[in-house]
Amino acid sequence: MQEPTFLILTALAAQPLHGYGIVQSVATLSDGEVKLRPGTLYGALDRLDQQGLIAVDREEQVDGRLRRYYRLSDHGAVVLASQAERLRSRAALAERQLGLRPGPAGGAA
Amino acid sequence: MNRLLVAYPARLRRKHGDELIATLVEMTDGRPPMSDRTRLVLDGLRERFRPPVRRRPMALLAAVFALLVGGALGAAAGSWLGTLSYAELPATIPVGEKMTHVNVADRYLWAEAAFPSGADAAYAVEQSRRALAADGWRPGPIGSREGVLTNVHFAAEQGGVRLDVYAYPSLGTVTVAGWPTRPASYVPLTIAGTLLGLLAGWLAGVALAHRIQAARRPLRSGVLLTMGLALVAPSAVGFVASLWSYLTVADPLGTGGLVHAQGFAFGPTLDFMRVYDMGEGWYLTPSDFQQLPLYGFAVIALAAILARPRYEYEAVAQ
Repeated sequence: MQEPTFLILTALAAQPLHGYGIVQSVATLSDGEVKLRPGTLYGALDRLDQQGLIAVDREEQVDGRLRRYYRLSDHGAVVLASQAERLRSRAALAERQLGLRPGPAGGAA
Repeated sequence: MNRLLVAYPARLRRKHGDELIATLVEMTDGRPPMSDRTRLVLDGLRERFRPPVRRRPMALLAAVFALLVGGALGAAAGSWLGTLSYAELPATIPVGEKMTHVNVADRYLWAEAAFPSGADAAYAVEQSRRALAADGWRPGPIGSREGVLTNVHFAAEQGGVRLDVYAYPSLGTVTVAGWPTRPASYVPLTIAGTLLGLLAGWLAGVALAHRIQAARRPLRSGVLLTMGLALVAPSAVGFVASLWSYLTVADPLGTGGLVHAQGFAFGPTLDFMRVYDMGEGWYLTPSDFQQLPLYGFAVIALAAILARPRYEYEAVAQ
């Protein structure tokens, strides 16, 4: 799973969001590192929808423009949880390996 | 601003077009700069190249087949355009001691004359060679072959036409076969056609894979698409192999080696069918390979038409 996809699912995990809401949430979650463009966002949403990881929550009209809110599907929650677990175990692994690193910086040496 | 969405596949335009514009407006306070508009268009073009993520192996397989068929069809179109600047074949050529009217069929010419009385093959060939040179042709060196159909021969060229002159002692005749040589524009047009065909093939394959996946009955369209590709494949393979042979064959080419001898062709040449003993004439003919892809493309079109989307968009959850 690519980082923008992971972050979109993470943004939708807490609450349903519309397009611009997702862009803002992803920017916040990534400390401004990931800036989604409309084209990349909706391409990603289309693929996530094809995979059944997200669903439409509701639609609103704001200032005459469509606002469609998306939420994480149950399947999406399972996939995101397993991806988070995978990343957590990888991070733990990296920390353990760093702890074994010989040299003055510390570790087992 | 909606015209910016033309770059997007119709499927995405229908599904997310309004939201794309609304999000762009929200992100830029209603005044998107040129750079954002350009990126929106480029992102749309990129989406056209992405195969669907669901049932990915099948979708990729379909897109790769479409890419290859598109490349073959593009090569056929490009090389056919290249043949439009083939030289006209002459109506008469000197054979032996006199000018002879030639028979022309498709892109080939053919003529025959008896040896002068009392002359042997070497003399007859030398006489024809001198006569052709006097008529402005550039004759090559004389060669000979022993065994079955013992002959003395040479080739000559003039104005984009190539002649093969053979004298057969056993028949007592000089025969001339000729065809146009490749003009300078032939190979570049073939390469350009191939590249455009590959591009169009991939885009069409990806679009069709998306459409079939979103269809009410994807299996029906999937089976039809497979059938269509299976019908097109023999002609595509036959054409590409014949084109390769035409572009790389060592001298002589032979009558039956031109890929578009009778106009646009998308199938193996007569020579190719003979070399690989494909039952040419009694089992399969080049025209069969011309017709097969027509049925194939019709079946693929049917697969696309029948693959009506399942729904406009997933019903909004209540």
